[in-house]
Amino acid sequence: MGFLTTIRAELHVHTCLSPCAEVEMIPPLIVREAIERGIYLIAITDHNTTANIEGVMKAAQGSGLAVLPGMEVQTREEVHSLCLFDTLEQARAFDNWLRAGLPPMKNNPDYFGEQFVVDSTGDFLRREEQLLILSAEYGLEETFAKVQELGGLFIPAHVNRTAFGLLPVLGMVPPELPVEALEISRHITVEKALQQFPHIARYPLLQGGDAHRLDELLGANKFTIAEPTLAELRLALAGIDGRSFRISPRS
Amino acid sequence: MNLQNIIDDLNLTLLTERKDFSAVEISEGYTSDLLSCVMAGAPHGSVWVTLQAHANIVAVAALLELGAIIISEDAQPGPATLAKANQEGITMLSTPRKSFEVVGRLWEMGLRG
Amino acid sequence: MDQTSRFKGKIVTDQAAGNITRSEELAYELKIAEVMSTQMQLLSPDMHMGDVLAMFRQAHISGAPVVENGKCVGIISIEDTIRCLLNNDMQAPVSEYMTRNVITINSVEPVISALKTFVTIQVGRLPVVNEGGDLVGILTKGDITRGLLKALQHDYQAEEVIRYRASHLFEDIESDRTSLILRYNIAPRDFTKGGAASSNIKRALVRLGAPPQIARRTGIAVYEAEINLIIHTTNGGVIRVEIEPQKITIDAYDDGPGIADIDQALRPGFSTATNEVRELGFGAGMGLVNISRCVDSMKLESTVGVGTRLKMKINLETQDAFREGSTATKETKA
Repeated sequence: MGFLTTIRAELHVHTCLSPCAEVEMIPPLIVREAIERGIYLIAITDHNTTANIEGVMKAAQGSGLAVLPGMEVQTREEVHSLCLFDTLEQARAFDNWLRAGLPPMKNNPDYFGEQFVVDSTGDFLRREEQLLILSAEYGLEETFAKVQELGGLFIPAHVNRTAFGLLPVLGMVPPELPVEALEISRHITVEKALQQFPHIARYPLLQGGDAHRLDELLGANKFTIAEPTLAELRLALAGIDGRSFRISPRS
Repeated sequence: MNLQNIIDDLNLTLLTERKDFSAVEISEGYTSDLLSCVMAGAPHGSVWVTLQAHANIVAVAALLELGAIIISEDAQPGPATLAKANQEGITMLSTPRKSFEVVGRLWEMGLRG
Repeated sequence: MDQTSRFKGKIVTDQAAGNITRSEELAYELKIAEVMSTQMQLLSPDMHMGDVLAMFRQAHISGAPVVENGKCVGIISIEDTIRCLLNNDMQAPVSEYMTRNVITINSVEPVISALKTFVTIQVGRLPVVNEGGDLVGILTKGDITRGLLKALQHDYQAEEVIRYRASHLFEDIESDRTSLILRYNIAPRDFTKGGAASSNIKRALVRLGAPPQIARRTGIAVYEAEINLIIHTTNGGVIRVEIEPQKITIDAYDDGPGIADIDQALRPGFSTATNEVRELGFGAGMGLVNISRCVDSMKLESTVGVGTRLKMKINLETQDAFREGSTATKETKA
């Protein structure tokens, strides 16, 4: 670990597997668009699934773009949280655990949208039949604990948003939940978020693009880190060892 | 009307410690699963009907000094949540009925929101 | 889940406006022939309804076209078989229960026309016909989404090969005013050529290094203007596009018949298109609305008996495009 690098990151990216995302969210286009926008670190976070991450990681090989495997989980409280991991194995282990707690309901593409599993070129592999945008039977705390156990990083997503955001749904960050950061949505500024929810000032705030289409790859977070790992992101969130982060929207 | 009347009438299960519920006077009710709305809208001393069983409901009920929480559809709060409710003196009740029916019955009993 | 995001493959109206997605753009480029399914179960008018139900069950389908001498004469959906079941009439021929006057769609049209048709009429599938009116395929919304996915993938690979950027083209030329003018003549009523001018213009813009978002917006604005000329004009019209470093100006004009009430023409959903045109999937009254989402300013002038002129402008510099792919900066901290 020598040089610290400042890179733009987008830690909340959906693929065409999320029913609400555009079909253009295929691995090669995500990789190309991120790089064109000067974003060199992304996390793939589909709703309650990890099946398209491998394709994106492969598509990014040799491109200079680092891809963290992740998931946007929907817990029993109807709250969305980002679960980030270092390796695909960790993410898959989490997926297996979560999948057992998803209510078995088939997707109706006409209402919810298609759920496509694709390969690294974006080629169709299969349709995911299980409806992904449902609440798992697990609560926030036990899901947090599972992510910790697997070595992952748990970040409540778009906490300010009325739909599925932690603060409107649960009123406040649960005092017993030792979250390391919160994500605010792209539709609000840090100042406004703090005005609306003063008690979140004690948490590091990230801003997520929640990218459901290519031009929503926001890359609003700049991290100064030595390498794209969760250990480094944690140091940056805590502001330790010269690591740091800031929200810096692209102009 | 007191809380004991409500517990008897709706056949509610008591999740927290027993108290003298006939001494707890209830005149208003509120329902929502969005805690930010509850914080803004639930009247002091009211009974709150919700499907949300997360620990934060205790904090909200304590903050607003609500009379009781009725959790619908048999949603189960965890042991830590119940312990916290006992510590804060919040009464939690549960029922297999849906929020819609619980609220309807409370309304029939004469409760208003 | 993002509340504002739209379902895949659905057409957008202006309330969801803002930017044009890559998938939307593709819907203007892809032809129906490229996404329809050609493998289909066909019914004949004299087949028994009981056999139809058995076929639907076996093939897991919920509808099929009825064909006679190669032409689509009707369509049977699962609802029709239910009606028949309720009547206890499974021996009846298909011709008694089929929906006649089926709305079909032409295989040479772009996918966007089918999406518009799906929005206008609530059907699950559209029979696809060729120029001669023969049934050549069937189209569902699912086919379109699958087709878009496939096209996105192929498109990406092809683009990578031919992709080159000449974004400094204008910068290298020294003159007081540099501009490039493209001109296209549009023939009336020739729907088979619909979309030709817009895709040529879009390609030119991409080659000139225009950012994808600008190329998309221009492509869609020109497409809608082009379709308007094809549908409404007496003798066709002209589309003139002027590309300058700061802006793109699009001018679509014709010599008749002219629009009587311009305010009305600009209202979403208002259309003077004939039923014949509507059945082709055009004339849903969304053309001008779609244009207004794509351009920074537009002006519609018309005199009945003289002609119509639609001027549109897209600014280049206010967009955050022509992106400099800012690279990661290295800092030499310990």
